Amino acid sequence: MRKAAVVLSVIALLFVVAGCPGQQKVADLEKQVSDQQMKLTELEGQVQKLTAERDSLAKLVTEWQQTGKPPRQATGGGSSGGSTGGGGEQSGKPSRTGR
Amino acid sequence: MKRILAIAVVAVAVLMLVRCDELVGDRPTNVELSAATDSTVKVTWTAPAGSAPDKYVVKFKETGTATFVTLDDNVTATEYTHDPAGKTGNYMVAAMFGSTEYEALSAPTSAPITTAATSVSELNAAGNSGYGWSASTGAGATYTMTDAGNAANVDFYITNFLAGYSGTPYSIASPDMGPNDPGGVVPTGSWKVNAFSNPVLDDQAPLPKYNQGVNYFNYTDIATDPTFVGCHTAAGYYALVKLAGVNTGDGTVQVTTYFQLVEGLRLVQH
Repeated sequence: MRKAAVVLSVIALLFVVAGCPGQQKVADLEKQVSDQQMKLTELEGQVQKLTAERDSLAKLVTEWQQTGKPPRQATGGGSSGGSTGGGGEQSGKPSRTGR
Repeated sequence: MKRILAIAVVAVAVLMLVRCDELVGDRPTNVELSAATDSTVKVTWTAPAGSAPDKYVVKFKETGTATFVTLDDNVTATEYTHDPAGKTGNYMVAAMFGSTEYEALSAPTSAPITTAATSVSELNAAGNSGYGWSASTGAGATYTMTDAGNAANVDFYITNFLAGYSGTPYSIASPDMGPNDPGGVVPTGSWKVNAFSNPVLDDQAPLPKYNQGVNYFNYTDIATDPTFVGCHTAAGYYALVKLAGVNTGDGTVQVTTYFQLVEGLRLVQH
């Protein structure tokens, strides 16, 4: 009986000793997973950005092909220069006011 | 003798258990960002469960870069305020137990949420002319302005303040202007009262600080291609709006948005 107790205690001690570095390993692996997830998020963002740019360029090319001339550049206007008045260059256009 | 030996072994095991618990630290949790001011970021977190760490390390990874840079390696509180000088990026917090570092699993970012180019129609053209952001995700979506049921979702709409969609310039306008818009299709409703800056020249720089009644307006013309405009919502959030490719043939504008999820923060580097 006593021998069994001793053996069990030794086994328990071994588990404890073996478990400590294991927890550190788990922490390290979790950190690696976290790092990889962040990289993935970053790359997804880049893909999203590049896709948007590609779509935008494709649309411009299509527009160009359809009209036979470069896409429009400026829309005229000019009331966006900074004053709070401005507007009113077209009938029905409300005045531009700060808020 | 054997009994003493058994007791000694058990005692050592117990001691090891206690010691092991002390040796193994834990990570901070609930790392969150808020606006300390309109251009500085407050990072807060929850201390690890169990024993207290010796200190914390706060790191920052600027948007578009690959590595974290240590901001402060001797933080003893569970908050830190950072002046990023107009930059956005990820914040990492780590608890230090001796020389061992336990990094939080999440590293939240102050970068705005990008919604890719979306076609938004002029008020009288076919298609949705309203656009709004989810306050929880920052994602943008289009809505029809002909349904007052969308009032809670719409943050701006595209109009030329005329009947029809061939006239220019187009403008980005606050939803509350809709019912009085000469386009004549917006029903009365609880439309939001948002505000827009003059066009900004540097789309990576912080948006102008909202100064009520002075530098944000009920609408802003889309004068160049692209035009970048700052938006300040009635709820207190900032967003950068890119308006490009105005097409008077079909009455559309390509809209890309960068919504800052941190309320009151006007940083939009993306």
